[in-house]
Amino acid sequence: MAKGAMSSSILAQEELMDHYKFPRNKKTIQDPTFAENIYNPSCGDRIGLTGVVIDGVLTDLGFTGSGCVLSQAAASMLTEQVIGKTVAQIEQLDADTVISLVGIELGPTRARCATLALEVLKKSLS
Amino acid sequence: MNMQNASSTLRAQFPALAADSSRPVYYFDNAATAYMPASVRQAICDFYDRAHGNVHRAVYSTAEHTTSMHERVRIKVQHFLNAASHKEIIFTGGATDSLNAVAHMWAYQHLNPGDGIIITQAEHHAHYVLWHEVAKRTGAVVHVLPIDPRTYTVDLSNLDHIMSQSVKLVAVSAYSNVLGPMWGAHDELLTQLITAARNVEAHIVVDAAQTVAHQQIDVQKLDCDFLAFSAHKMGGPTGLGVLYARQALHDAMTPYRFGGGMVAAIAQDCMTWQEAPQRFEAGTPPIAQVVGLGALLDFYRQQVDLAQVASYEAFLCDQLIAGLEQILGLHIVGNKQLLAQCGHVVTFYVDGIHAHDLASSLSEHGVCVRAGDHCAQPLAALWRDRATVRASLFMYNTLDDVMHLIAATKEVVAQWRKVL
Repeated sequence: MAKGAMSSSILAQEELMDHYKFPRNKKTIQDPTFAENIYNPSCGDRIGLTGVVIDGVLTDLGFTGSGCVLSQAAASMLTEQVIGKTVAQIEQLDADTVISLVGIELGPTRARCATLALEVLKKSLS
Repeated sequence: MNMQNASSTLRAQFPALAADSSRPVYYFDNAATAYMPASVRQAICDFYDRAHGNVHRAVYSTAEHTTSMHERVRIKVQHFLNAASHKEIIFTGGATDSLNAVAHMWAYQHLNPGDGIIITQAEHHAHYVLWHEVAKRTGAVVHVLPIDPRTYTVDLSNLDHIMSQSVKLVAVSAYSNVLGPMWGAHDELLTQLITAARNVEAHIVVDAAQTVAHQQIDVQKLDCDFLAFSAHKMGGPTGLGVLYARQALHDAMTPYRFGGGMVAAIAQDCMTWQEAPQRFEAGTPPIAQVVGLGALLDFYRQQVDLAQVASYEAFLCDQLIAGLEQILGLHIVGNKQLLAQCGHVVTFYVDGIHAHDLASSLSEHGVCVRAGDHCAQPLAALWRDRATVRASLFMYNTLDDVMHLIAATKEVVAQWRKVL
């Protein structure tokens, strides 16, 4: 595959599959400063977030959920990226950020699966 | 039509099937939209490429020709549905638009608080959402006929009780876009429901979106007051649908789109409307799309025997089910016996593998299937809200297509099982 080109095959994306099988930050934080859930009824994907924000910095984040590989793995990948960032920095993240993170080509319908966690995170911090 | 395979002559008339020979497409999302015969596309292009005008407006010869062409299609639709009059055929933007038109032109004027509206648990959102909204605004009550989880058919066991509760409207699909034949092999349950509805003088609106390309519709025999379908689901252009509205109801229907074409006279304090169906068609209609629909109905009249199509699709359904059932952990949602008799959709889920992941991987094999809730969320309660994969057939699918789908599904399931 050409450098910089993305595959469209989830199965071939080793890092993505690793995050699905061994999710990072899959936990429920006790005494969070925020807790929020999102559910995509068209496919049944669910993401729940609990997190801690101190002085405008996301110091801890945990996710729970169920659904397709893309939604769950993307949630895991996102938590690694955002812990330690400021709320202002997180608000700048967008769908393209997540799609680059997951490393596969996505059409608009599948992009929703990948961005579900970011969607609920932004809602939590707004 | 050859029972074993769609003929190459037929398939050759659908350019999209062979658009890219280096990447064959096995298209199984026909319940979402069907491919278009070349003759239909040509008719639309010819309309735009030749001198024409708007309809019902000008007297120069090309405009008159356009008007005649447009109205001839209305008559073709009348015959296609066996409607009593061409005046009962209203062109809309699609089946959803047709059903919303029934709500605005008839239901809001005639439903009162406490009146009952019957729908089924398997309704597409075009019905399910619409009639709940209508109920909210009118005070009517929605009665949802459940789907029997053992037979995947409509459960009419409580019908007598429901019919005793001031039912004024029955709003149902003729065929489920997820389960397929939910009314029985010969729609006997639908006949029973319509008979019961007539006994209490309720009106009947039928969503025929999933029927129109697969079996002959006869609105008089069906005894419905309104019927809706979309052109693109039978191979026509997008953006066009038909609403059949029984003539006896026209005076009880209030126009809800206003503008040119539907108004007859404007006086200082009074406006009068045109006769039906123009009264219900404001603005410039989708003329090019109507022309395309006319060409499509010619195609169906000249080349398609819908009874044979139904048998053929059921045969393919049966073959597909037989192949998929060999996959451990794959569960078909639907009545397999009925699907083998009159099916053209097969919907399933696989333990431990999400439908989106399956469908994405199948796409890498050139297989196009739908995954999710298929715009029928209430139905998913029957399989604990899991997303499902749906393969839906059309006259041009072949046995080779079905065998490829089965093989691809087996391979994809094996790949995912290895990784997860």
